[in-house]
Amino acid sequence: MTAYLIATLTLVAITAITGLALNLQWGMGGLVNFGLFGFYMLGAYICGLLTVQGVPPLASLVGAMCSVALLSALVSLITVRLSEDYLAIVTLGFAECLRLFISYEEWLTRGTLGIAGIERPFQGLVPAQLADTALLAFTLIAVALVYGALQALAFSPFGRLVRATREDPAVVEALGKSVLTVRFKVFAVGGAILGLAGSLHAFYYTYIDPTQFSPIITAYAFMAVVIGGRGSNRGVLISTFTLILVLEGSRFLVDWVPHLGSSELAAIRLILVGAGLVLLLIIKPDGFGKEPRSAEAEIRSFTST
Amino acid sequence: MSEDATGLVLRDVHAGYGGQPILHGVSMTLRKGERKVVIGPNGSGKSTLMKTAVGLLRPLSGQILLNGQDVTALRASERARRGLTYVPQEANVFRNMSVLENLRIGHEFIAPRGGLAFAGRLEEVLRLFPEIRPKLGTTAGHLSGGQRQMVAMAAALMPDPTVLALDEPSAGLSPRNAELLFEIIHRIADSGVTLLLIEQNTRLGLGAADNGVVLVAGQVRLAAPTADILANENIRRLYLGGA
Amino acid sequence: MLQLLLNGAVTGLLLSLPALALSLSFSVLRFANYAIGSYLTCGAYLVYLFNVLFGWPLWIAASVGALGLATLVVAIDYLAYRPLRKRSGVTLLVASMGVAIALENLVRLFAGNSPRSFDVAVARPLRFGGLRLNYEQLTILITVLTALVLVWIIFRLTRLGRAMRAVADNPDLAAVRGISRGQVVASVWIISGVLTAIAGVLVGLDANIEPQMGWNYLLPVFTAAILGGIASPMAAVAGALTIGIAEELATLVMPPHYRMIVAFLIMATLLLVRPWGLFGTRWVTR
Ligand SMILES: Nc1ncnc2c1ncn2[C@@H]1O[C@H](COP(=O)(O)OP(=O)(O)OP(=O)(O)O)[C@@H](O)[C@H]1O
Ligand SMILES: [Mg+2]
Repeated sequence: MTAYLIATLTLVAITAITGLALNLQWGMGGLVNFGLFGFYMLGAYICGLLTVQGVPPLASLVGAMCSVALLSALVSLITVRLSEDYLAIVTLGFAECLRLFISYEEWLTRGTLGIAGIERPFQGLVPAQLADTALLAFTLIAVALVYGALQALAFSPFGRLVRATREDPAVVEALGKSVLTVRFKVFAVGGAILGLAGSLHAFYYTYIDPTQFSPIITAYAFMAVVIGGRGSNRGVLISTFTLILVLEGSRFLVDWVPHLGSSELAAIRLILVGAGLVLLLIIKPDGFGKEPRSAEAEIRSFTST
Repeated sequence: MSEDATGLVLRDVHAGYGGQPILHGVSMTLRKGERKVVIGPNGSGKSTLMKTAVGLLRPLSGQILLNGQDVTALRASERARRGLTYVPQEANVFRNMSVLENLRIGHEFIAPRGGLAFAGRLEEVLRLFPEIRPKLGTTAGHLSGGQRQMVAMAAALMPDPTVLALDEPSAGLSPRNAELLFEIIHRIADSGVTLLLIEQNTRLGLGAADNGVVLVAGQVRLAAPTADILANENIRRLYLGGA
Repeated sequence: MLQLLLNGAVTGLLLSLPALALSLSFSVLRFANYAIGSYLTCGAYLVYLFNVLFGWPLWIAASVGALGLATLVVAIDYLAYRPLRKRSGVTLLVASMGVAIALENLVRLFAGNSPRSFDVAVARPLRFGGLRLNYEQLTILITVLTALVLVWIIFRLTRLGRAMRAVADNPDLAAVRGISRGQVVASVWIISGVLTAIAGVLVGLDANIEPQMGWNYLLPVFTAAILGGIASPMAAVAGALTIGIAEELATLVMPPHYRMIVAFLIMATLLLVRPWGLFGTRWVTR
């Protein structure tokens, strides 16, 4: 039972990190990243490949964060001349192609066989029976750090600029700031965070293969942000550690409910996620959390500085 | 004046965008066959008034009556089918469609169905606007400003409306073209349609109407016969920039 | 080579129906419906239900299935999209992703994950000189061309078509010209639903019916629509043909499982170079 709890909590904490990343990109910046799972997958693979090559886990993690940040920012550049609508399909396309690439380039990624034996950080320092607990602690620290960093960012002048860009790109351009630069930076920072989340995924499972990564990861992140309230980091944390915890926890219902197989249960869970997403957008568009400041106040304070 | 002698009535209309009121209690009455012009400074809410009248904008409060019936709750398309047609200030044609298609659309969703009626109306309307006859096959987006304005007015006339609302028909036209257009507007008005007109060019606007309304900051400052407005030095100095 | 072009054209035709449906709904509603892939999947499964479980001949099953999907699509619009129409387009995007996930998993819940196929007789391929055209390809060719001609007629020559183009061009003006937006929106969804269901059947004939099938087509379909300049439905067909032929020709230099990467590269290049579409003239703006 404790093992279940630790496992679930670790996964939920990783989801919280993806939620926070999306909250920066979509919640604050209005940039729809449907390819979130691709960047996450990239993080997991870079980190996994580096560790099995003998690179220390922490260094692999940093490497993954940096490379995903770079790639993510570059992808955002494809839509240089376009509105954010196209960002959604470009990121999604990138993610799907990445998944294909990873599935077929066996010389690099071992394809569908997957990568096994990924070393966790501080693996030598903790006794084997406490390994999962240690990783949970590590993940929770990561959540706290990301949360802290994003909160600081949200209240910084750059955070205001990001929100102003979401509300009215034209005003931002008129003030001589480049909307494109904002988009680029938001995707770089978001990419780094997703790289971190992916690396933690690799550490947790110690084995990765392409089937572990699907658009469902994206859907969970959107769910977390919609419930938490767009723009509210605290809301995202609260929503992941309540609702997503319940959803994830339902995995273990398999043992208790007689007629449902695990695939049926998974399908039901995802139907709920999909329908819940739509329902929440309709009835509770601002979520249950609150953005640090109202968007209008934001624009005003931004234009006055 | 009995109710059914009225074309269009606005009663204490408050309206605006995003909950922000622009019109603060506007009332006016157009009798059947009356020609009324609304004048006023830029941004005073003239277009807003017209959008509210035709149903593109829901009023925050107040009432709109068309031919004696309350149409406040009806959508623009339903008001159009009851005889109120409109030419907006901007974007007044379907740019990606041909002139003929524009005219057809002007007719077919408002007038009762039937091919013959369309052909007849087309002839009548083209007699008013002979300039667009050779352009029927042209894409409306490729027309000059003056031609586009004519196509827009022609499309609005196609269903033979009882009330016609025109938002600044002379905007962007050369003085010569504006004169020409107003000659046509005179002819349209003489055919008996009730006319609500917004016009920046006060000389042309007041010349085409029986009565004028001066709208300032979303409120009616003055409603009077156009002759009185033209005669009154003060009004002309205050509201019409000495025009 | 000629064979590749032929195969590419058939693939392109297959893409053209959902691409047309996507840009049709985009042109009227100004939002990109990410659920289109899951509509395709649902269409295929509906038809499978009638064809295999009820034992109806495929064409009857397909007609009933297409109407069924059209009904479903209109219902989804009513329940999910209509309440969000006044919000930003981005909100609708996210909602359509939610719809996609819910629908795909509804299919998984009832039909399971294993691939299925329609109940049709297997026929030998036809040969014209050196060219080989199998029976499924012929079906695709005839069905899609018929559907395209019908849509073109509706679009260009009928009152409904004019209403759809008018709303796409200028919604406010369309309203004051007496066009009821609600009816146009419903018609657009019905046409989209029918086209997508047909595409689902054809994909199912060409390959297998599986819950993932529509998702796999999402990227090429979007690319085709963007290639056509996303708001011009008929140009989306040209876009789809281009994608189909490009994907097929790319197999000369790339393994066939990388088709999607071809679509992505085309889209990325296009968005950088000619964001208003390859075939669309710049949409005349207001
Ligand atoms: N779609 C809109 N959303 C928000 N505000 C608007 C909108 N349209 C107009 N306004 C505002 O409403 C006010 C009145 O505008 P309106 O177009 O009614 O003025 P007008 O009298 O027609 O001016 P003009 O002579 O320039 O045509 C203006 O302050 C304008 O900025
Ligand atoms: Mg105006």
